Amino acid sequence: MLLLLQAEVISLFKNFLLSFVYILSDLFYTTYEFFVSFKYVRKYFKEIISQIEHIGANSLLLVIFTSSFVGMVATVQTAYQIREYVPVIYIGSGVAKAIMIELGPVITGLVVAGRISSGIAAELGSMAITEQIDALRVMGISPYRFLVMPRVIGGIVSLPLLTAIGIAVAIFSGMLVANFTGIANYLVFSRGAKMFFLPKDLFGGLLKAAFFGYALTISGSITGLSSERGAEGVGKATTKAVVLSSILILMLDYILGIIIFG
Amino acid sequence: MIKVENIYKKFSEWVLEDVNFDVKKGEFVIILGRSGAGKSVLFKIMVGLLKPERGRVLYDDFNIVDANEKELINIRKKIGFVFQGSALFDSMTLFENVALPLVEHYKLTKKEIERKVLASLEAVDLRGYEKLYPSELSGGMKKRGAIARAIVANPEYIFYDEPTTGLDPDTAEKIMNLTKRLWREMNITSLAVTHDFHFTKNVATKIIWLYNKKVRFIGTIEEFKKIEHKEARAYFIE
Repeated sequence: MLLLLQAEVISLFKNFLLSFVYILSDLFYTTYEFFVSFKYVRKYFKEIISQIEHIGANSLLLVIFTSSFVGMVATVQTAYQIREYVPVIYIGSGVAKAIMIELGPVITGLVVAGRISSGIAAELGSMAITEQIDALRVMGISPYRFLVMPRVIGGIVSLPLLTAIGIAVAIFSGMLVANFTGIANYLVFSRGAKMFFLPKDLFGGLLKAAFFGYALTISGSITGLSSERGAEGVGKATTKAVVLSSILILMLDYILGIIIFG
Repeated sequence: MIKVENIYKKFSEWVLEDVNFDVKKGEFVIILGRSGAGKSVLFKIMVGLLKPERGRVLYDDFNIVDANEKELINIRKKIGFVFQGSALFDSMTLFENVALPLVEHYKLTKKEIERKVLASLEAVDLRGYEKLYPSELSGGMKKRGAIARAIVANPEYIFYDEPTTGLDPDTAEKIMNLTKRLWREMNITSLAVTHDFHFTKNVATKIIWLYNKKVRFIGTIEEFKKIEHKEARAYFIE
């Protein structure tokens, strides 16, 4: 019985390792193809703009909505944790810094990943199962150039813009909550927010967002293009896309956090 | 001329074994076989979408099996491919679908592209529908749209993957007549994979019969009629 369980665990671990290596190779290959396709940016400019609109403009309301709650929660939680020990002016500093460095980019990335990454996977997956990807290849058109590159650039451009708006909304909503709940008035909160502001915090956060834009679009593309046959295959691809993009965003968050702020 | 030499292909088990034949310029070759006989796999190998385990596919003595992406693109410019499900791009109008090979590979003015696309749509009787999206077209119209896209860049070879499958008899007849007319008028070397014997006997100048992973017969329809093999006779009974 124990031997059987051991064999089962080993086989599960083996499968996990294999799929990890497979995804990693796919990730590197698609990234390589993305850079190779970069010379066609001018040719696909219209499509890139349309992707920026699709990823950016169409996600704006969602980002504003979620960011406002992020700001409110961050303020209430920060106040709960430090109000007894430090002056309230530092609540503004703590909230603004946390939002710029961490919460703004990560929450925006994860929220947009849920919407865009799965959408890209479903779109490319449907194209794959209806032979549209094969049709591109047989016409001598690289799907990476025609489909992946505009989406990835769309993600890289849109995410910092969305994050910048998300950060502003979160800090503003945090300030409102601080004022209405009596944690700190507008003046104290905003003075605190400005007190330890470093441009590096904001730009570092936006740089992270650009990488998250890459991660969520490339995840959708990889899983969509390798989608298996049938509706079930497309369904699996969309799930995989969200899981992969979330993992990539959190991994990149750690790595970039060390590089930029470490 | 296309030469297929010693093609072997395996997925979980062998689907093609020692497949050999050639396609001469101006022929209309039908690869005939039951569902699952490996016809579509063979077609995909012939256009470089799949790699065989062994063997070569030569286009005028150039082997595409070992070709790199750049070399493959040059060969694919000579090829038009009509997929079983048409494979028109949902997000593009019929006009944009047909124009795609021209936009991607040739430096043409907007006017030249428009002229070629409209001529191509005219050839398949789809003039006037160019602004419609694939979702607004019937099955037969999609198929004709896919044919228009395949012929727009004047290919040397055209591949039809199951051209009449999934169509009602009347539409299938129209598609059959269209493929025959294009082959005659445009003098494109044509290849089709099908299990539709009515289509085969009406258009084929050469039949290649795939059965049980191997090529069992190469010849004309008259020669095919003389085969005694039970599976081959079944086509006539149908």
